[in-house]
Amino acid sequence: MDVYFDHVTPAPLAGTLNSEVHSEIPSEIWRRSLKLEGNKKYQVYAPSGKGKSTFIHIIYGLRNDYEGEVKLNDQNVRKISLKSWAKLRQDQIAVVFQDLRLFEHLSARENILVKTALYPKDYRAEIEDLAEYFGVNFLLDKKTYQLSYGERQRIAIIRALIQPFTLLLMDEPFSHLDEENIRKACLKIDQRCQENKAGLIMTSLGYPYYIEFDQRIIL
Amino acid sequence: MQKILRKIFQSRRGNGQFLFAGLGFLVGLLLMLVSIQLYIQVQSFLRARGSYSEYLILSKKISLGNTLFLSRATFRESEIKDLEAQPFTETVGRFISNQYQVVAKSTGTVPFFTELFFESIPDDLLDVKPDAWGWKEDSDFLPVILSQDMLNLYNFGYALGKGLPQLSPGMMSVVNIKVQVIGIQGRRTFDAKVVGFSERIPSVLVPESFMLWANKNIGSSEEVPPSRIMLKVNNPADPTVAEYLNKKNFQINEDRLNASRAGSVIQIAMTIIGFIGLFFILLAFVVFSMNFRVMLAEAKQEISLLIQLGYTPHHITRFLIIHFSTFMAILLLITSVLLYYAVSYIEKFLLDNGISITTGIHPLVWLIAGIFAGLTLIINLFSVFRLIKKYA
Repeated sequence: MDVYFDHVTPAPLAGTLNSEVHSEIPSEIWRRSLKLEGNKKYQVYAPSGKGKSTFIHIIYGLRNDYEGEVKLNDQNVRKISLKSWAKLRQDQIAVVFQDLRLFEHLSARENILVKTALYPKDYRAEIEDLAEYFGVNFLLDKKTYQLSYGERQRIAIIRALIQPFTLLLMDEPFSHLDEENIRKACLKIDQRCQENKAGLIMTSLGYPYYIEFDQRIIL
Repeated sequence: MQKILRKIFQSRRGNGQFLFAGLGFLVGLLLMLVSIQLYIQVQSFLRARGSYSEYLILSKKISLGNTLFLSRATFRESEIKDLEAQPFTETVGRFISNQYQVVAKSTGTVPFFTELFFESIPDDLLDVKPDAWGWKEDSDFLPVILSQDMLNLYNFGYALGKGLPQLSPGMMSVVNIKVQVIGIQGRRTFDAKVVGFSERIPSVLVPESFMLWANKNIGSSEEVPPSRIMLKVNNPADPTVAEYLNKKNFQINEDRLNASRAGSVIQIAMTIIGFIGLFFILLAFVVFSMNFRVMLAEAKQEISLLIQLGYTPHHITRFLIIHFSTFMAILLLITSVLLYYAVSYIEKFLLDNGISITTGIHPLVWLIAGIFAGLTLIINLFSVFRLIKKYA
């Protein structure tokens, strides 16, 4: 799924971007025209406070407080109906939020089931497999609030990877993972993107991960 | 999907509060329904009694003047006209008394010889209408309706004291009585029989046609104003009846008046209970709906997150509708069961205390319960639609 950014200025960053004239590295996304191609892997990096989450949320249709235009394929995201968004989020776009957005009072397994309940397929075995791969299978039946942030991050990644998608959005997904877990996660993400012939847009602080990005973009 | 959604919404902490609000709603609905049911039952009980006591026999108070000057305490035509014009009046019937002498005698099982009086009223005010009732000028047979009280007086007073046999109403009606009417214009003898017993009218009644004929052809033939009149009112519990009669100084059977007063007191009490029930259910309804809204507001995050994960507002609305409807259905079921038991208990209590009421829950009560539940459902579903639209 192609993503177009056409001279976008998010409201929360309006003041900061104005003063950017004097900053050393200008953003390649805000107030620029940019196309992110559907089958490529992008790393969008920036220090904190530059609007990485805002960027992901705009693509995912969670915020409308910006100037300019954002398109998914040829469709203006502002004009996508609630029903179409539901369809896109079910079949096209998977996401890992920076703040994870898990149901705290549900178990880890139930958090994944919330997603898989949208599909007729039986995902139970797949959940077990992915949990084992990420080393969280023994935590599946624990309440989410009992898990560490790193463990929750892996559950959120599983929830995103398990669904069908053509675009994977990840907002600083490895912030609380150790090196080995980051490596395993990257491998899995790569594999799932290939299986789905999907594109990846990952925001981060700029560390080199175990993924071969087609392009690194500064925000 | 329903299962996981249930998990998400049921594991919330606000649910206990919502259950409590549901309980309040249940109690309110139950109170209202029980008071409506009781109101209907008491109303029909009063109406059933009313068919008995809506006939009032009026007379004037006898004063010392009446005794000293031999003047009769009779009703003037203007007074009767005024009474007829009252809104509570359905019919006014004049009692006509005999303007001749009556002598009755019987030989056989119950031998007696006595002077009697006769009265008559229009047929449509009688509480009994035996087949043999009526009289034609050439007929020698005279049907008589006796007051039930008179039979009782005979059976439990006169017969015991005189060593005479006690008589059942059936026996009494086969006793042959010779009645002689004697007036200034002549005399005539009739074969009379007691053809019925009246609970309503304490008198010895003959057909009005006979009375009119005998007064004219045997008696003094002058018209005498009635000293008693019978009043049929449309609502015996109406307090204005008693007020009017008091104002006019008319006398009526006190127990009838008391029944009317008691009736109106019960009616007022039931109305108050009904209103309290209504107030209670409205309050319960508001609390219930507010709580539901609070629950939805508290679930805002969950609803938003579900939508972010790809759920449609339709998915969530459908779940909440099913959930809420089931909750309402359970509440209604419990209310119905409790209503059934409460009403049975009250009916038993009333029946044990000699108040015969119609049993069974009135269909109107079910209808009101249905309407109320339906309204609650619709209003709350409306807030589901609105809030989900807002959160999405």
